[in-house]
This record gives sequence, C-alpha cells and structure tokens, in this order.
Amino acid sequence: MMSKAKILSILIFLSIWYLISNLVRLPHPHEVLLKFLEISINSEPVLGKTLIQHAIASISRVLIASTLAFSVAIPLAILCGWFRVFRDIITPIVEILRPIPPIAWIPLAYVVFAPLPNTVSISQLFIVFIGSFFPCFISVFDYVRNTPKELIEMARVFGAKDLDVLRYVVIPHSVQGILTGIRIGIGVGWMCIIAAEMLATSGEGLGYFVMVMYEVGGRVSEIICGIALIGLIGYTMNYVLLKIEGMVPWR
Amino acid sequence: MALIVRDVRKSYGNLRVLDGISFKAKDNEFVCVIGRSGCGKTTLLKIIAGIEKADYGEVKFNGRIGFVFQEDRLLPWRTALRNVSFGLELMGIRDYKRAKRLLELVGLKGFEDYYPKQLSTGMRQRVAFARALAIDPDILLMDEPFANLDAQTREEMQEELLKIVENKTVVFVTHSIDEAIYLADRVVVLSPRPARVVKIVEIDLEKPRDRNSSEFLEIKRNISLLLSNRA
Repeated sequence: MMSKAKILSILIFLSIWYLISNLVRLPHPHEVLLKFLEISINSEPVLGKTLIQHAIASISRVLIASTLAFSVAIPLAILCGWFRVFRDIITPIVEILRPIPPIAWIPLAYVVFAPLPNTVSISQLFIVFIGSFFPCFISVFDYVRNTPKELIEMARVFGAKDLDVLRYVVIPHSVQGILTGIRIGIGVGWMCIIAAEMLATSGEGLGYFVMVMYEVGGRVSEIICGIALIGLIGYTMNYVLLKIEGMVPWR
Repeated sequence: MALIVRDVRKSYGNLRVLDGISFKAKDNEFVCVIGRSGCGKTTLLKIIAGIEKADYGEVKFNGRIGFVFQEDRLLPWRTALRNVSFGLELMGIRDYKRAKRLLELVGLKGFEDYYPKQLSTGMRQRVAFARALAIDPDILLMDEPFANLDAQTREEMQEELLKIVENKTVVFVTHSIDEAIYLADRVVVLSPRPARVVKIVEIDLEKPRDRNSSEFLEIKRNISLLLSNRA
C-alpha cells in the first residue's frame, strides 16, 4: 500500500501541474493521461507506431549495448583491480576517456561508422556502450581494490595462490560492486539512448518520438507522454535492479 | 609435529619488533606466547605461518598449518559449512561431510547453512576454528582467538579447545595471563617492544585446571611480575 505521504506528494504534484497548465500552454494531467492510453493502444499516426513499440525499441537498444559494455567492463575492471600491470596501463586510459560526455562521441561515431549500412543504429549502440561502460568499470574496480586485506591474508595462510585469491576472495567480494555497476550503468545508458535518438532519424524509440512530436508542431500532450514514459522506465529499471542487489543473501 | 623457532628478528624500518625470539614446541605440546598488546606476537605468528618473512633467524617446521585469527575472518558470502570447507577446497578436496562433522565438533550442528552475519561473534569464531581444523593441520597457530568474546563465552571456549586439540601441537598467542596458564603446557613470556623471550615457564598442573587454586595464582603472580618491567 502507498503511504499517506506518497499519496499527498502525488496530489501536490498534480495540483501544481493543474495550476501551471492554466497559465501556460500545457495540457491538463487528465488530458495527457487520455492521450497516453490512446497512443499506447493505437498507433500514433505520424510515426505509425504505438508508444509501447517506441519504448521497446529504446529498451532493447539499451539492453544490447549495455550488456556488451558490461561484458567488457567487468572482466577488465577485475583484471585492473587485481593485476598491477593491467592497472598501470589501462587505468590512465580510462581516466582520460571517462570525463567525456557520451553524447560528445556522436559526430565522431557517425563518421567512423559511416561505411556501415546502419550507421545511426550502430552509433546509438556505441553511445550507450560508452555511457554504461565507465560507471560499471569504476564500481567493479573500486570493489576489487577494496577487498579486505584480512580476507586475502586468511586465504594465503590456507595456501591460496594468486589465482585462488582472485577466484575465492576478490571476485565473490566484488559481486556487490558488479550489481551496483550494472544498475548505474543501465541508468546512464538509458539517458544516453534517449539523447542519441533525439539527434538522428532512427525510425523509432522514445527519444525519437518526443523529438518528432516537437518537430511536427509542438504536440505537447504527446511530448509529455513520451517523457513521462522515459522517466517511468528509468525508475522501474533502477527499482528492479536495486531489488536484485538486495537479494544477495549474505549482506 | 615439533616446531623450532630460532633467533627470529624482524624490524619495520627503524622499528625493531622482534629481537631474537627462540622457543620450541614439542609434538602435541600446547605453547602459549604471552606479551603485552603490540609487542609483536602477531608478527611472530605470521612469520611462523610463512606469510611474513623474518629478517634473520629461522623457523623449522614441515607440515600443514591451521591458523585462527583474532577476528574470525570468515568469507561473508559463504555459509558456515562452506567456510569450514574453504581450506579443503583450496587443496582440491570437496568434502562437505568432513566440514559438517567439524561444525558438529565445535557445537554448531544445524547451523551449516547460516551466513556469518547471522551468527554471533562466539559462533563465528567457532566456525573459524572448525575451518582451521578441517585441513587436519600438523600445527595450530592461534592469534588471540578469544579476545573479542565476553568472559563467559571465553572460558567455555578455552575448555572446549583443550578437549579438541589434545593431540595437536598448538602455538597460542594471548595477552591474558589467566588464559595462558589455563591452556598451556609451557608459556613463552615476551618483553614489550622489541620483543625478547623473558622466560619460558613450564606449567606442571593437571588439566583441566582450577583457576582459583593456590598453584595457579602463584604462577599467575610470577608471570605478571615477568611481564612488568620490575622483574
């Protein structure tokens, strides 16, 4: 059940919305809700797709690209955290690339991926990849680096070799960091895909949908439906992954 | 199996920690090393265990070492059972029956599937003890294993420990005189830093020992004198 405070918070939000929508060019909440239901069930005529189809397009792009990002970031972060050689060589590269906002890669991506038939899609996946890679890498790396010295020493006393320590102590200890990295990585990836979709003709996707609705004449209701769903999906992904993190039985 | 420690020296930078420590532990003998907090007892134990190098001197021992730390150092993501079997797994042996038996031996039957965070400090220390026993060590090195326990639990554990390690060589580090006399066949008394062996005291009392007997108290007074600089 929702707590009283939560209901109150929603009521306040809606009242403010009603208030503002009387002053500026903004549809009322109930109008948006109706529009939302309408274009969730029936195709929106300009792009010929339902809101749900756009959402699925965006979600699959994020899932594909961030899965790729994680499968590189996690092993790499473990190697860098545990082996000095990797750390000394790779960490500086990561530190230089990390502060670049993923969106800044878009023009370069278009040029580099131009020879491919699906330049836009590949570029979008690339941007999401960049977006989810670094938070995941950093989270796993930190966990690996912070493996308690006492546990490593214990394992050594029991005769553990370097690889045993990695397998039995460092990696299990880092599971938490891996889960957190995945959650934050997907969150950033989600923001990246919306931005990336807004910048190019991608045919479908929530970001693209919102942008097109603006371009065909400022269809505010549709735009709000789009961004509301973007928020809802972002929230849900974070919530589900938080629950999964909480399921780790030894915490 | 017997252990010989001969003239072990260790410094950290300019800080001399161990200044020529020598003692022996005979087969199946229970030796307590006693000294003030921070006198280098733990360092000594780590050198015996081979995870620290001495600057000088030697440790003669060929066999498997079981180690019990002051903190339990259990792996939080492993259940009690899997913690006990940890050393065995490192040796390539997957023998959960043995691990289960050892949990039973330390009084934790039924707690196999509990995670460390679900156990009390005393129980966790028992699991750590079972883990050390699981690999069937030739010597048990124990670093103030009961220091974090309340007095009641501590005395219980001492009693049980004696029963379990009857046929094992044990080197047990403590700063509690009472604990040392209750447990040991011989007590190696160390001076404050840098640690030297002040004296090795034979405890010739029948076990289990009465902590309030006059002999016990007499030895206690002697060791107490040895530990303070007045001796």
